[in-house]
Amino acid sequence: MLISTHALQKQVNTAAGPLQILRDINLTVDAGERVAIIGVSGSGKSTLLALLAGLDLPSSGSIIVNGHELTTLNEDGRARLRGREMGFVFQSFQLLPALTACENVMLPLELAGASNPRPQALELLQRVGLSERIHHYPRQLSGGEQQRVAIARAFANRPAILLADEPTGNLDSATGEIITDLIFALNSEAKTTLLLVTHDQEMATRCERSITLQAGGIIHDTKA
Amino acid sequence: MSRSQRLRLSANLLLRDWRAGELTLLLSALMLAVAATTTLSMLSQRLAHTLNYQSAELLGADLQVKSPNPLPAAYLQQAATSGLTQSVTLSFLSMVLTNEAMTLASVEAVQPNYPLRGVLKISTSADANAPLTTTIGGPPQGEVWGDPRLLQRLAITAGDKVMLGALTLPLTQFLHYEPGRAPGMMGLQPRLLMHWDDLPATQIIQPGSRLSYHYLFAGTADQLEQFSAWLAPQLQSSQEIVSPGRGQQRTTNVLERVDRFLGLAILVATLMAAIAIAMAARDYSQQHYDMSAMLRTLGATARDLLWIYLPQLLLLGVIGTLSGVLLGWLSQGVIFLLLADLLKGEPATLNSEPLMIGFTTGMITLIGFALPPVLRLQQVPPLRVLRRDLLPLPLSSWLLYGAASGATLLLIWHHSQSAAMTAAVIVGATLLLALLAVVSQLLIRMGVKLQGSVGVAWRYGLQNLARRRGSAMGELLAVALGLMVMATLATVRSDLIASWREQLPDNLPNHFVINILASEKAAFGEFLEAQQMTASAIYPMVRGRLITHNGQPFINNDSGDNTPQNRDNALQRELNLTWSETLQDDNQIIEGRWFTPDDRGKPLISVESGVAERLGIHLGDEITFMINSEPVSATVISLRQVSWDSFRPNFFMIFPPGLLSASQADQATYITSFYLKDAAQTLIELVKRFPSVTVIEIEQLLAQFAQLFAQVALAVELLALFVLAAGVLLIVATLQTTLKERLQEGALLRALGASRKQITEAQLAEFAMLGLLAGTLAAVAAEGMIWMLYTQLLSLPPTFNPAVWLLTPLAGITIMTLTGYLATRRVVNQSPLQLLVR
Repeated sequence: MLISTHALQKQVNTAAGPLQILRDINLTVDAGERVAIIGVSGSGKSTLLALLAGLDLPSSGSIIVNGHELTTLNEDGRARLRGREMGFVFQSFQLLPALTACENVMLPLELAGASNPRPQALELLQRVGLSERIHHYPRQLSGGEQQRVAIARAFANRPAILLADEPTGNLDSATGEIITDLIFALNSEAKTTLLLVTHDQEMATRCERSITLQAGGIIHDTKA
Repeated sequence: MSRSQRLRLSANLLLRDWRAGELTLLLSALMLAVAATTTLSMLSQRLAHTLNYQSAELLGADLQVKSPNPLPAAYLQQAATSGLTQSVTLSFLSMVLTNEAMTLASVEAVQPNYPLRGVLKISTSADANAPLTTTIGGPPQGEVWGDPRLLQRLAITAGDKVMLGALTLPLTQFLHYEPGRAPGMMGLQPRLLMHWDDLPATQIIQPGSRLSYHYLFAGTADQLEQFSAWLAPQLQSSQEIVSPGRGQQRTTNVLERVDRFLGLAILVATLMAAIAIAMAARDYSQQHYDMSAMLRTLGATARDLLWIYLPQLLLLGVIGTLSGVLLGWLSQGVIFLLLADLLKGEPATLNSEPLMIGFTTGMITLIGFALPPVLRLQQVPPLRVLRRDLLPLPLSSWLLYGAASGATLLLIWHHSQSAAMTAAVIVGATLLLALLAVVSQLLIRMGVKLQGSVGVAWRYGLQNLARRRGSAMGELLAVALGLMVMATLATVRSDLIASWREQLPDNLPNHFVINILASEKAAFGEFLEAQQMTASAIYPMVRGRLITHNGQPFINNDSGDNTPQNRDNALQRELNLTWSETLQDDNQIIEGRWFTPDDRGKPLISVESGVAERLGIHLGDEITFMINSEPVSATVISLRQVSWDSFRPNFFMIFPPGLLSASQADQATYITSFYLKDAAQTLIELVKRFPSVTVIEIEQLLAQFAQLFAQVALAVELLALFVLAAGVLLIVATLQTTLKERLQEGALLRALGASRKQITEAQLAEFAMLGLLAGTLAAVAAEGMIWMLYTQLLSLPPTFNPAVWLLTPLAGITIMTLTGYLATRRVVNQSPLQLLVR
């Protein structure tokens, strides 16, 4: 068991009173599992992903990732855990505009203290088909290319968990397909646990397990 | 992440930010703060040096020691060891004769390197309008040079022989200008300059002769300071150190005001640039929220972020500060080039002090104003990668305002070196900001209410103002502050210059006449009237020495000779005393009262406040003078402030009429001053009719002052430009902070079908309104500020300035609309798509 949550709740205060975003989420994910989290807009998918990544803290309940209780770690502790165990792919790519493709991929390795991150970054860029683009800045790349850099970055520190938030949401369908293939291929090679938030039913079916959220609660948890 | 990796990443990010132009504003603001400070400190130093140099020119040296006997060789040896150049002159009174006539002259024997500072101006003609030759070094051996007044007295022309003691020498040149001819040398006789080596042959110098040795020294400030500190305790009471500045009351007044003005300008430019830095840093910080969130997501700790951003800030600081110092150095060089015609004398040697001041200012400003927003980047929540609306926790306001006020305090202290001034500026600035904040809120509300009565574009513009009330208030405050400072400085500058010019009106007395005999007084007045010359009143003058103070001798021989009081100039010589029924216009009673008609003949006296302070004389004290071998005691009834700038006869001590005995009053001669232009003939006639009088021309001296004022005024004008630049930068920095929002909105509006014209008009409406409000606010604040500065700091009469009320709002509208339009032009020029997909 790589990830487990117990009685996870997330509530925020709004002008109209408290708003329950996630309610009583109990979930376990094993190492190497590929899990799609699906649901309509506002069902709490991204919030769940953020909590599992330690980007945010629950209102109550516990989250254990690879043996670490996230709610007991401080911001820096959670950052270190992310740096060590997790990779991210976002809908809006989130590359650092100031760094080249290669530097963006090197970044997680550098943050983890790797002494010579460059060869590994180059290898990954080659793997995602961008060996010609290593010195380009994000603004010089197309959306698909930027997402491929982001994928290379996500796998750079050989994470145990890959968290992907609508990775094809900003791309046309043809490019989206290429990106999907790439994520699944790299995932298989690295045997990474995949948590994929998506609207895309087709993408979800490529995962062996899918969890459907509605109004902040799990309504289906099906394994293929 | 290892330290070197962090540093490499840090450098990399800085480089990219630089290329993307994200650092331009921050760097410019920093450079400006440093450049302004450096330029102004350097200029202030060089100006002070030049002014000192010119005062030195008036003295003929940087330092002079007067002594009735030769100084011991050890003193001169010490001066040589200190690295000072030296020269000595010997002056004495002697009869100068021709075959037909004779007159008493003030003879000065000089060495070939006389004067050490300044020049002599000579001509073979005695006519003041004759072309003059400028020279350094007195007459060659075997010749003498003389004052044109010798022509009147001896009826000689250049080349005629004169007898001086046992020696007969040709007078080859008339001496038209010589350093050290300042008024104050009463009883001045016509000058005769001779070579030092001719002295023995005259056989004039005999034991018991009344001689005055003037030892002249020149060198750097350090050398002079060292030497005079060594020399002062060794001197006897009859010996005296004279340095430029002493007794140069007028120059000192001007210098003090210039220094205060420069200090103020430095402070204002720096503080405005500091606010611009704070704004630019806030903007920089906001631009880096996303990056920080992403770094946090990828595993960076708060410490990692600190190590990434802090070196950037430091590097930025070093680059900005060094280039600022360089820019400051260049601009003061340019200003001095522009002033080269005006600034005579040697250029000042530059030392590291202004550079250090610039550097320290840069670092203090950066740490106090830019560090807090950058530190905030540590607090960016990683969740921002998913939710763009999340902001870092605000920094503790203690840290934010504490750092800024700490830095401000340090800056003010750094520049003013005065606790009182620092406290005044801090309290004043806090009150002003609070007031401005409240008023700007009110003004924005009032402006917004206009919405109903204007067109669509204007309505949208005004709505913008209402929606962005928070940032609009910031903009309004910044712009108002900038405008207020500029309006204040412009007014202060022109009033300062005008006040200096007022000191030198066209008909300022340029001749002093002394030794008018009592019997000739009436006739002399009639003569002046007949010539239609405007003269100041004619005052009687007797000479007397101050001997006792409340029954105790002034010079206390028991306490040794060297207490500052014992060595005061007022005790070393006979003072010129007068009596008068009326108080002169340029005198002001600051304590006690002026004489009433009943005081006639009573033992009372009015004392000038400066000399009273130096000698410890207070209201009600009794002081005694020795006048004409008779003691005269009087009780101090008033202390007077005297405007020495007025170029009219003025006195340290004034008695009521009728106090002095008839024999003493009979000894009095009279003194007056008048204005006379290009009328050598009138002067000659005057001297012929009243042979006893001595006319002292101070035209040269006045010209020197006029030149001094002109250069100072020009320098001050040039320096105000820095303040202007800081103001504009502040406005740009303020606009920059809302630019992104404006760009987004503009793009959205255009996508929704608004024309470029409509958007431009709406923006201009918003800026114009903001400019008008800021200008109005600035006018009110400037008027208050001017009043405070004039009454508290500059001792100028307070003024009401209609120009401020008219021009400041106009300037507000113009500057705001123009800068606003230029800074946000991209809103209408960039494609909406480009902006919206960002």
